[in-house]
Amino acid sequence: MVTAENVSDKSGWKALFGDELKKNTSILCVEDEAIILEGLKIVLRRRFNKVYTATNGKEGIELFNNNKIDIVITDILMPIMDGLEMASKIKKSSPDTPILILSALNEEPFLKKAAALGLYDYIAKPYCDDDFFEILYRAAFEVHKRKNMAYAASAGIEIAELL
Amino acid sequence: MNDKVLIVEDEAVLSMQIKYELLQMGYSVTGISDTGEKALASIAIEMPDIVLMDITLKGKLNGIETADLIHKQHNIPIIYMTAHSEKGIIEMAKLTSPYGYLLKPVNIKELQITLDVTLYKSKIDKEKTELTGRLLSMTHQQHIILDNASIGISLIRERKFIWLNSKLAEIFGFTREDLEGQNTRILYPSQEAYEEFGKEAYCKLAKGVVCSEEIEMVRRDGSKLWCKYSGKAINSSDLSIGSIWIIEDITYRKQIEEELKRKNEQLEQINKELKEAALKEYRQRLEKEEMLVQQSKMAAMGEMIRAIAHQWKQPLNILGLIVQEIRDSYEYGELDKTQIDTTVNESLKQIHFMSNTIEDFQNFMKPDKEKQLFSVQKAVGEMFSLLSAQMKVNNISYSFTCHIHNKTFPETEECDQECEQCVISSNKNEFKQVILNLLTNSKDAILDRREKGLMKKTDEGNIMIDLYDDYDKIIIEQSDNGGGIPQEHILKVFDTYFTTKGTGKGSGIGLYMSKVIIEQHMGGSIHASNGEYGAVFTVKLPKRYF
Repeated sequence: MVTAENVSDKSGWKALFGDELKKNTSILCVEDEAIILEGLKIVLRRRFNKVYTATNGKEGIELFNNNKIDIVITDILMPIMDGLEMASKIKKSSPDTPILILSALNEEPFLKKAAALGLYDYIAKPYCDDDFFEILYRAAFEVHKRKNMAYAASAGIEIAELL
Repeated sequence: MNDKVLIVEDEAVLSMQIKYELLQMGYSVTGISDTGEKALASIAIEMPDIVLMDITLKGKLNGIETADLIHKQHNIPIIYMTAHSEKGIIEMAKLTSPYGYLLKPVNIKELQITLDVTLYKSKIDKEKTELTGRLLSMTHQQHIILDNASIGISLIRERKFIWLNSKLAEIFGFTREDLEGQNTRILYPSQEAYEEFGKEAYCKLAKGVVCSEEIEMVRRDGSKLWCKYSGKAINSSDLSIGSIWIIEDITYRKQIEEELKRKNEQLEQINKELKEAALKEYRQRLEKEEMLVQQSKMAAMGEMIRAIAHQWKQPLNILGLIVQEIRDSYEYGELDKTQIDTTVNESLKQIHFMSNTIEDFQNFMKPDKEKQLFSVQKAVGEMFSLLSAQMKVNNISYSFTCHIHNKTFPETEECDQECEQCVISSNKNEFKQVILNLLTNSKDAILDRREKGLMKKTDEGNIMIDLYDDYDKIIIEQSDNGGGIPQEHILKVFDTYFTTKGTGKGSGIGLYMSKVIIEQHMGGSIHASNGEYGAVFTVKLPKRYF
């Protein structure tokens, strides 16, 4: 039986949980470069129903606070509020939310800081390949699992049954 | 005055008669003595010019004895007047050098002639004696002079010392007696030197000219000395008479000359060394200068590559995204002609941007030694576009205002007009290197300030360039909010290897080269000061500088 723990095929995630995750996961994508944000939006929309976009950290926080968002994807260098500042604020209010950092090659110093913040993972630009989606799916799966556990706990159902 | 005559005669008549005759002839008579003793006494009182002497006298002394005494004491001419004609008496009388010998009886005519002749002869004799005396005294004086002269003087005949002064002997450590009659060979260091000098000297002496030579000689003790010889033949047609030589000891002068020569040689050597050192120094400076130019070029190239890395990151990201999007949309069955067209167009746009950047870099690195006309405004604009991504990444905003055209970059994008007011003739890339250096310094100052916590990380950095027209000059003013240059460093920022950036960050060449380029290559000036928020660099360039 194929389970989340032994998925070997990267695209296997889609086959396993595709529709379920697509329906139930909401993504916030923060990127100041319009053309990249647009490209990200297109690929994310194919996989997730709810995709919110912002062009700086401040907008991102507002969207995060006003919507139910499961996963955050953010660039680092942005005007007004950078990605790391935004991430640390989100971490404070919602420590479990996976935050993925999009990083360009010259931003290694920021990555150390990102690691210190305990962020989920980082994706090197240019992204959009299978690795990116695997990370994204795994995060989505974990969020999904946590949600179900919380639901099960409140309803008194054995977790194993759900999986 | 009448010539005076003393008559010595014992015959009174005869003496009276002669006195009478003498007075007749015009002589005066000092007296008549009949004895030798009386005659001597009379001479002591009044000196006669002539004595007429009889041989036979009354007293103890005869005429010859008396004449002998007069001759010895007074040198008065004596004429004998006697009857004696015997050979023996005449022989005796002769010894007293008489002027005349008259036989009695005296012929008056004969007396007169004898007196005349005697007076004349005695006068000549007196003059002769006097001259001889004078000559002797002069010779004596001259000997004293020659002997006491401070130079050596000698008479040499057949190469032998006939006479020499004491100084000459002293020069060579001898006494006069040692050298008199000696051959001069003993003063020469060798037989060869003796013969060679002889040949040369006698050749000149024979021509009657002065023979002047400086040669090395030896003293009695064998030590060497330098002498100056000046010789002249007494009679050039007969060298056997001899020659007079003046000899000077010039050893001291020679030593000084040698010393002087040595000192001059030393001086020349020092001069030569100094010249060489200066030349070496000059070459080293040229080499160092050349090295600095290369280093500054490498630094500029490094900055350019950094800028390109930033410039390319975004288009690379976009291209990456676009390429992956093709596959993604195909997998989701969304790929159609429209999307392919859009993708291709967008890709080409990005590729074009990247190739422009590389072209700018290539142009910048091109070694253009020749001056060209270019717009300062355009050159500054180009530098700003190249750095735009890097500035953005570092949260630094920049503005470039051309006050000549009232345009602000980047809003108006690049100014493509090659307007007259801001065209200069120079090496464009060198100028761009200066602008790159100034902008990089500003960027580094802002980053440094943030790192030191003097400025919040999120505070925006600002870099501004303002372009002004000032009659025959273009003024480029570059300012930032990087905090400025510490006052104690402001005069040193253009020095070689002076940097305030941390280790490994700055080479201390950038501003030095900027100053060299602006001042030496472009004929302008560059000045550093502090503004309200940070450093201000003012560059003034003459328009159309040729």
